[in-house]
Amino acid sequence: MSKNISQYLESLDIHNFEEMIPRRVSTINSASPELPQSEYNANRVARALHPEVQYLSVREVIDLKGDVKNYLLEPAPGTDTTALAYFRAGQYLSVKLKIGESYLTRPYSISSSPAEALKNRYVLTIKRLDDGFASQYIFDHWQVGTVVEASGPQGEFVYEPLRDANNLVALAGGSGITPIYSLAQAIADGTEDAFLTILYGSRKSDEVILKKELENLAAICSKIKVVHVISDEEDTGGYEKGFITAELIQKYAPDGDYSIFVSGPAAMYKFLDQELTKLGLPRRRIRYEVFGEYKNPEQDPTFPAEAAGKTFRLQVDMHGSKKTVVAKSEESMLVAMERAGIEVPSICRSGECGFCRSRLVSGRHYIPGRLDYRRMADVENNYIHPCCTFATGDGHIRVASNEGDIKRGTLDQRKKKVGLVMTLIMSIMMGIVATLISRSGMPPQALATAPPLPVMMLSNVLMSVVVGILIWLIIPSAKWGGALVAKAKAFPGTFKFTALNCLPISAVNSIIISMVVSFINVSQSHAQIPAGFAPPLGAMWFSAWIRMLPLMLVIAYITAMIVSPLVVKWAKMPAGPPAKK
Amino acid sequence: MAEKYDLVVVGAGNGGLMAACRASLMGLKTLVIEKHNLPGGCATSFRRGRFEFEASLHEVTDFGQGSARGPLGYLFDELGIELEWLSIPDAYRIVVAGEKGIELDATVPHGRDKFFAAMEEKCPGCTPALNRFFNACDEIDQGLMYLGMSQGKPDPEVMRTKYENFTRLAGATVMEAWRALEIPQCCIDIMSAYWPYQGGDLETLDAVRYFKMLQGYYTDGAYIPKLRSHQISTAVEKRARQLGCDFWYNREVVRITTDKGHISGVVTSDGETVQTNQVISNVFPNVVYSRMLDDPSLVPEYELKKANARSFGGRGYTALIGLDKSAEELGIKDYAVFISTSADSGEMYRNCFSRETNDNFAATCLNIVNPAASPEGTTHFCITCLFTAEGWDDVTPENYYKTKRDYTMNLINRYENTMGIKIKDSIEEIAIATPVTFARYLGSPQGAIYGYFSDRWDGMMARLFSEGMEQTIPGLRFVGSHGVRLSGYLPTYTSGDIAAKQTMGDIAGGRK
Repeated sequence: MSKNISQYLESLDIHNFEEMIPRRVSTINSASPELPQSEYNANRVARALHPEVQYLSVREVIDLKGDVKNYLLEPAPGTDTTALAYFRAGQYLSVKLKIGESYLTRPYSISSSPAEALKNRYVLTIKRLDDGFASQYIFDHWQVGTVVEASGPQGEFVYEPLRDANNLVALAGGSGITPIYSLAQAIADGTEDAFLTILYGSRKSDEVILKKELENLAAICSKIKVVHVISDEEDTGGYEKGFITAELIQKYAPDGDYSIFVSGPAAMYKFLDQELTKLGLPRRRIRYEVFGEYKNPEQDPTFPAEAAGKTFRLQVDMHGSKKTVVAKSEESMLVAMERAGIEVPSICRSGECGFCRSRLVSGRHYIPGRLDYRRMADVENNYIHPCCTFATGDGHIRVASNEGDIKRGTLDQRKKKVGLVMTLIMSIMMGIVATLISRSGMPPQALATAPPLPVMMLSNVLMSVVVGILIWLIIPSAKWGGALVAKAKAFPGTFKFTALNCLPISAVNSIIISMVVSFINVSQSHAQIPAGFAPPLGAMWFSAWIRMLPLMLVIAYITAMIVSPLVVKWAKMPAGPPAKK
Repeated sequence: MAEKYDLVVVGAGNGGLMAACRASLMGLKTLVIEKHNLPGGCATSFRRGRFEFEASLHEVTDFGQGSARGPLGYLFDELGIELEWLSIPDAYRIVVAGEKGIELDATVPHGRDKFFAAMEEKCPGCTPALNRFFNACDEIDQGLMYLGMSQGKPDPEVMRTKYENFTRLAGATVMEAWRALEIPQCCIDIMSAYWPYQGGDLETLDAVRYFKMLQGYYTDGAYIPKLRSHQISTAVEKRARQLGCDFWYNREVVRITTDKGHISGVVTSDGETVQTNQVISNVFPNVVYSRMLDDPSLVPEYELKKANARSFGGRGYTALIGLDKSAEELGIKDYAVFISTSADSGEMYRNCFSRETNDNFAATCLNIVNPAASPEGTTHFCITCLFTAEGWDDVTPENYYKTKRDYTMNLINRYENTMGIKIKDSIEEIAIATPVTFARYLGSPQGAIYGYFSDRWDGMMARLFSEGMEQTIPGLRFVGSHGVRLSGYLPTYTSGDIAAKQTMGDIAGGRK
């Protein structure tokens, strides 16, 4: 006969279950009560490689020719930065700048080698551009001792042996040489193991950035070769002439497999797009550095023509601020926000890194195809990278935060609101009811001398409201209601909850308000009665109050029961039981 | 004047996001503070070139459609979170390749009938044993239902008499249970493949937790979202926001303040204070206790000892690779392949101690399930493995890049040799995440992705049964992989859901 499942499971010792908790408790009790460790090697290395921020100070400024300077940076003394983050050759730092009222960032490739970072040294090679807002500021303001705030190393423009060919052909233009120069040094000092041929395009042969440095490297390291390509001179003195073309690349590229690394201005990329297709290389053999601010989007064929030359209004919401900024259609939303003095998180400023990801609540916009590196779900949910998004209509953007669609106070705040509103409504009801009851109980002669109905009603209502507010301030009826529903385990939104919750507030209010209103009314009529004929005030008051009380209680309770669900909804109180599953 | 909230959630990981969603649905004024610039934690993706790499999710079993709607599906329905899911045809292929070549190569499909058919082919005559396995799963379901109804306070007598089978299973390890059920070794070898999902060897892991996972995968199948796990995170965040939740990004909670022994607020990295009496933390207890509390002496000694008695569950390594050939061209046919040198989970678990010995991994190809996962003519490929100790404790900033590259090369070679599929020459993009990477983004100790290790004394059953008596500072709760239900998408989402309800219970009960 075959066994049933229980017979199989019988061999499992049931004591294991019974001992489970005692074993757990004893294991825990025998451990140390010190504060637990949270930092291990992986955490330390992560922090060292990817610090949130680096505080650097300028150690030296070296003038190179052609409006280019080398800034030597080291950890700024007296800050949390005691060592520079190691990086991969080709990476950049995002430098934070405050120029006037604008907070901006700029990505600058580290032109020194990674090995230098181990000696706490970064070099940024920066060219002053005529229309360069940041570069001009840097040239005017950065001196020895200036403290600079920068990111950790960023960027994907690196040599990856698992992916790239061992032979590299770098196509550099102008100041795009900087990451390539870092890579060349890394190869020369053995940090990276590859062969590097640099085709370096410049306008004039005497304007070549880092020319001497590159030639020195090529001289001492056989793995590095430098070919200058000069575009703006007739006689280039032995250098190649013109632009970097497919032909030129084929002339200098090694036989066999090689990877192309492109780093230069946007115009160079547009030119190379056509040239590189002639080489027939697979996509994986061509890598591009990001080139920063995208200029003249209105010249793109897909840019909506009607938006060219226009400015729009962009509402910018961040936690703690709402601003409307002017956004020109030819400037990225990021730049528009920076102009307006808004500090927007950004790193690559080229669409790639996604750090500026923000929700575009509404607004027509344009994103150049080659810069749209958004995640698919972000495209679907209207998230954009404002560094490469251009406004083509008025818009609304949320940066570094999202706000709930329902605005509510804390539960305590809402409870107070509900209590006050309930009190007011009930007070008004009771003032009206008290008046009617009082008057119905008055003998005709008292009625004749009593104030007219509207006046009496108004004064009773006012009195009730004042008393009600005093009650709301002093007596915790809401708390008592809360205690009742908690004890009865009633959930908000149920009849039981409303019935119990309304009891204390309606009872307290009706008892006290009726006491006060009846006293006032009775003392007025008592005063009218000639002395000697009047019963004691206390007795009059008591009987008037008792007469009024039952109806007041009932009316108050019914009013509360009817009105409270509406008030609760208006105040956005939690409704419904926590769902069971 | 500091802003006041009913609840502040620290960290927008799975647990934090779901807690925010549930809390907001219940009407609590909720704020989530997340140090990164987007929500999700591990549940995210990122762009490299023309690829969008999935950072963590291989599959979720607990979703389901129609009558097979699973607990995660129901949870999403209840909260009103909508997104599109794709179904995964096979559970996995397991390839055991040692020195003598391929010892085992089995493909396990989803769906009870298909599962039985495939297993009969590999292990003739195993049907009765597998029936016993699924019977045991049914016993577990009944026991867990009773646990749920008893609201964490089960009657030991009832457990012993009415749910005896469950009670016996609840105290057993996977291997103990399989031996008791007399499951043939052939089946054990194949069904052991999922041990990396729970980060422990099967002589140590809870039978209940592992069996439930197998039952889910083998019976109900598995799903992935169409647009990566980032789509899920975005959808949950959006829903929470619709329900009234505020989100602050790019700033970190650096301090949790207390007043008279109760949580009183948080302070952010840009110096802002938020008043609240309830905090739900997606951040590890180790980090909160040692670095964030203004008064660590408030932490019950038992909780500190617990943190110290525990070790970490699993540290992640993933190489995400964009290939410039289609899966067809490459010859990849499977969504997920588990490649190991032995079917013995104990041996494999021990091998995950260091890079030198850790050569068993899961290789997934997203395009098999989602042909649009990457541009036409390309493949989204991933090699993932787990580290069972601080196997990266020898890396320095200086040797890190070379170290991870060399290790990746080993794994790629092993994949090529085992599967006979060439991928090296087609690599267009590659991003290598190690425990250092996870440490960077999650801030978890050692870059742990599986919370605390599911030791014999610290398995899911032990945690569930002692949850009621293990309280920390009033007003503070933990959610995420280090929580009671351990790691995984359903457990972490569930932890957030439950924590929010408990928070509401506290507030409604007048306990602030």
